[in-house]
Amino acid sequence: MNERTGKIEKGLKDAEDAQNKLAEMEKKEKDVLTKAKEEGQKIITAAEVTAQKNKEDLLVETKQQAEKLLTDAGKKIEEEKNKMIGEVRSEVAGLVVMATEKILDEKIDVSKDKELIKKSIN
Amino acid sequence: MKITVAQYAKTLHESVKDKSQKEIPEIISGFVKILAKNNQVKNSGKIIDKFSDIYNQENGIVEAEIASREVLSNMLSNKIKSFVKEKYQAKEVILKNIVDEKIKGGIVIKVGDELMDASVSKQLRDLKYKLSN
Repeated sequence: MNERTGKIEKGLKDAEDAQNKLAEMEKKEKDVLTKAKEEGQKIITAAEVTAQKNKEDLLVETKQQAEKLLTDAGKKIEEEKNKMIGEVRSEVAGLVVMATEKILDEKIDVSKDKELIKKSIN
Repeated sequence: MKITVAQYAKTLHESVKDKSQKEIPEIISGFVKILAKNNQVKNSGKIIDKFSDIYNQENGIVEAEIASREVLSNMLSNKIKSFVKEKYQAKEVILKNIVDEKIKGGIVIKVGDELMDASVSKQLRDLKYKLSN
């Protein structure tokens, strides 16, 4: 009788231990899962932050490149314009001087030349 | 120590200064011998130029190079001489007239390193510069 009672009590005790172990394992499993979820969330957040930053950097860089392209193009256009104006001016000046030279060649005779010389030393 | 062209010229000037016409050839001959000894005959042209500068400076002589389109008349030459004489406070002016048709008219006066460009070509150049800028 006593032996049977002892067996029953041991059985109950084993069952209780097993129950406790199961509960403990379930808790551990839950903890691991929670921690994994937290870690996962951290990684996702970090990835999102990095992605956002990269996106912003790319946007800034693209904007800067676009602005530089516009400025360079503006400068080039201005340079070309000035060069063209300079060329036209030079051409016109050359023509005016050539015409003046021709007129002067005809107009400056010996007596005019003497007058010019006298004027320059008076 | 190397003797410079200016030093040779100055020495020659000092040697012939206040000497009679009779004495000068002998002095020159001795000077040429020294040049030959010092291997400086190659610089004789430069020495003579420098000697002329010193001589002219000492005697108030100014050499002026005048470029004109045509050969200058005596009247104009004299006027230019007077102008240069007054401008440089010279006792005497030696004019060298160079005919240069490219100047188109007027004159270019060169005295030493100074240049007075009163030519028509200069005025045309100025006009072109003003119109181009």
